[in-house]
Amino acid sequence: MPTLSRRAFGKALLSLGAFPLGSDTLFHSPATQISAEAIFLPERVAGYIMTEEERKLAAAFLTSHENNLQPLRVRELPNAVPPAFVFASPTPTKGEKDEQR
Amino acid sequence: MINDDILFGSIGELSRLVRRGKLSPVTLTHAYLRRIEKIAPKLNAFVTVTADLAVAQAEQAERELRAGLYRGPLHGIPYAAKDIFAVRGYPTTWGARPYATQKFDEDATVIRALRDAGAILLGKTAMSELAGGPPKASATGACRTPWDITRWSGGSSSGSGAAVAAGLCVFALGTETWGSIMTPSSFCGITGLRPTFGRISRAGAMALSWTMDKVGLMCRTAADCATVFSMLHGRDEADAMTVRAPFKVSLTKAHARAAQLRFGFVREDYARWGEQEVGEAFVSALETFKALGIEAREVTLPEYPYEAVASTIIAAEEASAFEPLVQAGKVSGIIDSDRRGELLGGQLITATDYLRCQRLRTLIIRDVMKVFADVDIILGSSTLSCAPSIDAEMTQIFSGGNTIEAVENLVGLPAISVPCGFTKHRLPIGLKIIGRPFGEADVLHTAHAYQSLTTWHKRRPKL
Repeated sequence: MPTLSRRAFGKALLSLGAFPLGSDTLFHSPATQISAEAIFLPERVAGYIMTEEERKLAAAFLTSHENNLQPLRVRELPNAVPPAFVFASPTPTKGEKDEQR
Repeated sequence: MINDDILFGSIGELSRLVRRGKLSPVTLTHAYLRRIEKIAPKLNAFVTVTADLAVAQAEQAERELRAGLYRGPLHGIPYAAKDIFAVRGYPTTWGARPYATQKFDEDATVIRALRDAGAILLGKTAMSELAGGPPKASATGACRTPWDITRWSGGSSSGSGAAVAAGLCVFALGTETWGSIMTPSSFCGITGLRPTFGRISRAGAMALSWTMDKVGLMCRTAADCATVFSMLHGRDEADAMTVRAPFKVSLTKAHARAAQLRFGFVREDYARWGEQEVGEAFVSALETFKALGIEAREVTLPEYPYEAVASTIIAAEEASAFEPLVQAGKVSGIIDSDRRGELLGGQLITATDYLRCQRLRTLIIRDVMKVFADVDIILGSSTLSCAPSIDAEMTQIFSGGNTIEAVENLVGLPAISVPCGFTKHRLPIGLKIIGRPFGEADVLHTAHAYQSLTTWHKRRPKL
């Protein structure tokens, strides 16, 4: 599916207020169904040739994954937003020790 | 003769007896081993009982204590560890059939730290396979809550929750990536602490998600969690994500400390997504806090697709973590077909999708931390429903999603689950106390103050 149509679809969802808390797992878009055949080539790019049974399982997961991600893809992320690989740091302390009473 | 009052004792109670020579670590260890032999199989709580190691450690503790060498409050105290932690000389199965004979040459950092503190390892507890999945998805079968053995103990720290609740150990180690300490603590009616991301070393523990995995504690009381946490937190060169930060807790002043904090709560739709009795217990807990002079006000979390972000990050990272399993063609050994699909399909998640989620996580952390500008503690239900049938599927167990858990775990917030009531069917209900990053002391002060006013944590299942 072209990226543009995904974005258009997601924007339509946003306009409908489709981001209430807890709603994302309930969101099932009929827009994307990934078939086992569709991942025949990508799996080669990933470096693992699946069996037919594995391909069906992978396709089922990717269908769910893709539909969950559609609303995320329309959210514009400024260039300055980095990935969260650094988390909250503790307040700097110098030589402070634990205390337990 | 060791009675149930001893076997269900807290670390504080047992430690005092051990230190004064009134309770032998060897006698105590044998009593727990007998109880494990009798009860653990009914619950599927243990994968491996390390009886020889436990007796050897107990004898060493007894010798040291007689010689006047006291290592601290965990000296001579028996515990159990989730089978996610490496213990030299014993299998570490990660709850999954493909790893049934896996062994490591070194102990996990936390296992080593507890050994140095004089604690006694009774065994390795059951877990969901590769730390995820429905009740049936465990190499040792569904682990059962001691409150009703037709129901699940929760996952993925399933056996740790069941073992503490059933009086099979004094405390246990668990891990959480997304709900794996909070859920079994709630379903088993125990007190579980999930510390801030990076607080306790994960070295020697199975990696599911490097940016979300945390090591935590499953105990009888908040005071016990404080004791074990004080022994385990800190920087470990073997886990680059660990940080050094002081932990200053004063449980003797817990009421006063808690009363100084600002409290919020998140409103849940129990009627729609959970059980009404859980909601009623939560309201009752809020009333109990009022006795401490604490009035919680409703807070609203910023709107984000938390679960999609969390599930994508975990799926991509676990696909990498278990790539060797996939490449070896051994995914078929995983019981849960959805999980097999996730491990296989996860290989095809694009780097840009993964990074998009980690970048959204940056915004999530920023905006959730704004909520903590107005409150220090957020209260909620540990789970919206009680222990489900061992035949339940994940979609039934978390029918309303698992949103708050996703928020906490994406941001890396500390939280504790404490029992706050029981249903008419005698199933425990959990109250969750969430703090700001590195706010373990706030969380523990609040939980200890709550437990000093209530007795839910003292109830024992009939086995």
